[in-house]
Amino acid sequence: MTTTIASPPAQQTKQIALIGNPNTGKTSLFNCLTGMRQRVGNYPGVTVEKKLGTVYLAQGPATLIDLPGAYSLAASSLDERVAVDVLSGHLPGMERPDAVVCVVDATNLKRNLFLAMQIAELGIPMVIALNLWDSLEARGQTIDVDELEKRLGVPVVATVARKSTGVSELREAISNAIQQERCIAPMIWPEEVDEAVKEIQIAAKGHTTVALTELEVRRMLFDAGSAVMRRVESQHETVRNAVQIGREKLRKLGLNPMAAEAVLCYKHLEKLLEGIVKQAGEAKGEKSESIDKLMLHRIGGLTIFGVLMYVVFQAVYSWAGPLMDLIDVAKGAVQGVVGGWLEPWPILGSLVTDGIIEGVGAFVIFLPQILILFFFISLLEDTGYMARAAFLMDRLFGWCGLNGKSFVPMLSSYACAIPGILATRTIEDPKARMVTILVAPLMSCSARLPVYVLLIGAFVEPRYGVRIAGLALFAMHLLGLAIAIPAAWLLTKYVVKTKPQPFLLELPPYRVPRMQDVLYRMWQAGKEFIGRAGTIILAITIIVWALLYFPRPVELEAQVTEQFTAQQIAANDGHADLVEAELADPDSALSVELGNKIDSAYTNQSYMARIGKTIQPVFELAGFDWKITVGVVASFPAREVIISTLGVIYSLGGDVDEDSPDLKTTLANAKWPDGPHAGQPIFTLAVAFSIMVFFALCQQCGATVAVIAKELGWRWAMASFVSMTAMAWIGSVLVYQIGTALGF
Amino acid sequence: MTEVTIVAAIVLAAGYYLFRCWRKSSKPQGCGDNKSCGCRRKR
Ligand SMILES: Nc1nc2c(ncn2[C@@H]2O[C@H](COP(=O)(O)OP(=O)(O)O)[C@@H](O)[C@H]2O)c(=O)[nH]1
Ligand SMILES: [Mg+2]
Repeated sequence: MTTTIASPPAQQTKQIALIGNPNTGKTSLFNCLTGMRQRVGNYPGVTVEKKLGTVYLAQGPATLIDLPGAYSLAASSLDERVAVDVLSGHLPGMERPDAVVCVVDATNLKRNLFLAMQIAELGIPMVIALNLWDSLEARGQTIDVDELEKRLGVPVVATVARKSTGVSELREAISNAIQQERCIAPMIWPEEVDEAVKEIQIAAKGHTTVALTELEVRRMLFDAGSAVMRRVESQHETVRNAVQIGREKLRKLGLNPMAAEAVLCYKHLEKLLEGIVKQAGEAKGEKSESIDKLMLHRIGGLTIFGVLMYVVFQAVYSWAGPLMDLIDVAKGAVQGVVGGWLEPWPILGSLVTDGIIEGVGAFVIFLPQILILFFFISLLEDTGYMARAAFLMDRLFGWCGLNGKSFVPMLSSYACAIPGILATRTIEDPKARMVTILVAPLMSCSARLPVYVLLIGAFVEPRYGVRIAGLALFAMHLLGLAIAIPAAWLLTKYVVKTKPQPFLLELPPYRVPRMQDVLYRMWQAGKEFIGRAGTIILAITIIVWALLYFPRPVELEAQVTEQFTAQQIAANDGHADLVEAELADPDSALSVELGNKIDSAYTNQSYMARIGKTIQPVFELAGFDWKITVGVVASFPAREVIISTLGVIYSLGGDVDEDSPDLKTTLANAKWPDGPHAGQPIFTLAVAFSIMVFFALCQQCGATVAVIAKELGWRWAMASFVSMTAMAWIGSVLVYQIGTALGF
Repeated sequence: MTEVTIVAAIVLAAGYYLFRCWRKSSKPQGCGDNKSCGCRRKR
């Protein structure tokens, strides 16, 4: 019996799309309507893909689609095209929406309604949400909503998405709009335009599979390189000629064909909006502008930017201390308790305490830093400051062939390269987008933070104090950018050859950040960090433990004991009885030393040591021993793994003792057992920086490689991987060699 | 004996998990919405 019955289309859930200019609060409204928590940010281009949610209307549940912002339907960048495709029903697997909620910035009616007028031509029922109503009131203005509703012919609702004001009214209006199918009265075009449209339609007849609608023809007439033009095989001579003739007509009217639509539409809107916006009270003045005089100043602005970033990293570095200590104490306690339970099973006990708890614990300790970093990032983004920073960077980026639009993705990459790479969809020029994707992984993502903090904490702070340590952390974060700029310059100049593009980022107004959003972002980052600790870090830690623990030949222990005892007896002038008596006491210094010797003998012949020692010559010039080599190699899938790997290596290798309660101190105490440097510390300042530079420049992130492959293809992904790894190697060798020569 | 079996099972499970992550992320659609396998938040 077959059970598949096609459901009748009438019963399908309704689709409602949210559309509007960038940064008008679409996502905030989406979250209010659906109860979901999508990322909101005070700069254009935060939403780059469509997001779906469910909204409950009087008719029942309906699907709500949050779209990236767009200024017009003449889409030029990838993210804008998503919006246009959804609205025109061209996105595969998606129906044309049953209604559109056009989210309008109430403080900027005319420009925002331009998009609404274009959508009106699609004939989809519409509701206008006058969002940011509070900002309008703050300006001492008001809008005659009823009158506007009358003139436009569609429901208009005033909303404040941030405070969830007007959301239930909006929901009601959407229900009504679906039932009554009210559309904006389309604008009346001059006769010449209508004539031209008819002529093109006639010319196109027979050359397209589906007859062109008036709307599609108008897009062909008004937009250069319009998507419609490409879709309907209108390369055809007759059609192209008809379009040319049409444009000629516009020129006779005194209109530039490319600007005709905007000019005509604005004229129409001006008449429509006459007397709608009223000055109701005292205007509070534009604070943004006077602040921006300073913030965007060539020298003042850059100084403020530098100081702000320094403060952020100083805070990340120094505030986290007490919390880290707390986590460390908790880790030790858990280790003690669990170790006690597992006493009868030494292998399992080692897996759990030396492997899982040590490795995952060493990683989790950095949770406070992550939380503090994300707190500042979202604070700076939500106030609108980050968009100013993008503006400042435009000059710098322009020099290397990119533009300020590349800054937002690069900035996101400071948290993680993956959202950064996805954010490049706002860049229109495919070549500039490609270069931005290729340099984005050089930005210092939050996964590198633990590596820096560990090494700086172990080797910089004890010598130079907290202030310099914070500065070193800041410098490590700048390093990626410092390399990315010339890299982008080389790429744009010699590899992909981009043309400079005008910068189109719109400066959002300064807004007081909503604590809820900031804390939520922090919570998300923390959750994800812990999630990684419990999944990929845990899994790799277990494998690393196994490779370090096995093989376990029993003879080895006897061998080491015998050798050690003989040595001690010789050192004690042949008093065998004394040495044996001391070794009989398991807590004596000698027994502990022997225990450590045995542990280190086992790790030294483990599978991991063999692998590490085989690869180590590659990193010889960078000053890495086999343990660091193992850590670096294990970190290729995800760079944070080095922390847990080093934790396990040193814990199993018998290097952890009373003097080194945490990984930081253990690293500082590690010495070369043999070879030319026997007895000297493994980690000098030069080695520490060599490792950090390696991590700063290397493409150690499987997920990023996969995303680049998805956006640009496997070839570019591999090119990026190979070149970054080579750069990392060269960088760390240089740092180690120069550092050592200078005596660090 | 049982101890070794348990440890071996844990190690194999971890290995299988990593293998699955690798398989997923090396597929052409990238890591998609698969957050657990090294993919971070998408905006
Ligand atoms: N004052 C005020 N701010 C808002 C309102 N709605 C959204 N915002 C803020 O505007 C910014 C952009 O919001 P978002 O939802 O990401 O806009 P989108 O780009 O259109 O999706 C965020 O900082 C929001 O907190 C509102 O009604 N009033
Ligand atoms: Mg959005």
